Amino acid sequence: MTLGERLLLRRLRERDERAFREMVETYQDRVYNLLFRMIGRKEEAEDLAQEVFVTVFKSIDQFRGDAKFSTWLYRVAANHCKNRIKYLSRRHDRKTDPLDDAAERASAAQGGAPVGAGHIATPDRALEGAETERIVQQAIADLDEDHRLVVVLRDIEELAYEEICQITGLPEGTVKSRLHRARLALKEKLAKHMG
Amino acid sequence: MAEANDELHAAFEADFSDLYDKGLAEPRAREVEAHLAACDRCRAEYDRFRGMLGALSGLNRVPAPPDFDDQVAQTIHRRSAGRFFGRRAFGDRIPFELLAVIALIAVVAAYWLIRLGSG
Repeated sequence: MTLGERLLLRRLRERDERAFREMVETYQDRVYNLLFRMIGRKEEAEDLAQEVFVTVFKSIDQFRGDAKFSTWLYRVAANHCKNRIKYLSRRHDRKTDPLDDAAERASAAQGGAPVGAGHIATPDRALEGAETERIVQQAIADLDEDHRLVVVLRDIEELAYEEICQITGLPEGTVKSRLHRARLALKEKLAKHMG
Repeated sequence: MAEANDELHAAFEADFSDLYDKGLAEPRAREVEAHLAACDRCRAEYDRFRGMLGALSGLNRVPAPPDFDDQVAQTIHRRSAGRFFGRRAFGDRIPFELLAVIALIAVVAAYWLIRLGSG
């Protein structure tokens, strides 16, 4: 942990509201993006992100500091995510809306460019970008939960394998094999759209 | 023959992830790259593989709503009736262990004072 993280942690343990707000501001976009890519729905991601930060605040004394704070935070988020996905599947509520306001907000904020492309906003490119987002998000949503998590952590959040192992509690070999299977599945799902 | 070829291509495809992540040992990495240079089928598959990963890493970051931190703070205030935030002199709870030790010392001290007084 960095010195800054240690100081922040101490203030969090003292239940300092300003420290808590600093922590939320620092990590909210990363947590929200992770949850949105996992769940695919803006309202669920927002609600879940709130629960993640409430849990972090309530259980901050359990964080021993043997990993990075962000790793612990991701682990809390991943656990919440798994529980929510199970809950939603029990409710047979697997309807996803992969391109709702949140993705449109992101697309608009970044010039509506298609994924992996430049940032020149024209109506055609904005539509193309939104459509690509929708297709990729749907393909991610079609993966099973374990495969989805490793793909989101590695290929969207761009975390190192070591950190993914700490978040998921899995050995590196398992993470790599799951990731490979998930990537091949995504390649097949996207092949018909990407030519 | 065709099955043997399929197995060969599948064996190279099994290394796509490690090749992309630069996690293959050097001799095998050279072998896979040489195969990709010579095999149209595997090269096309690897191009699709890389294209898919490019699409993933190029997804727009979805930001949290602008007032998100306020919403979280309000949720915490509401659920805890205002008890969560704020510095506490003794931490999160009453230090019963410390109070018990102090009480024990006080009892022993009182006992000795009484004994000394009566003696």
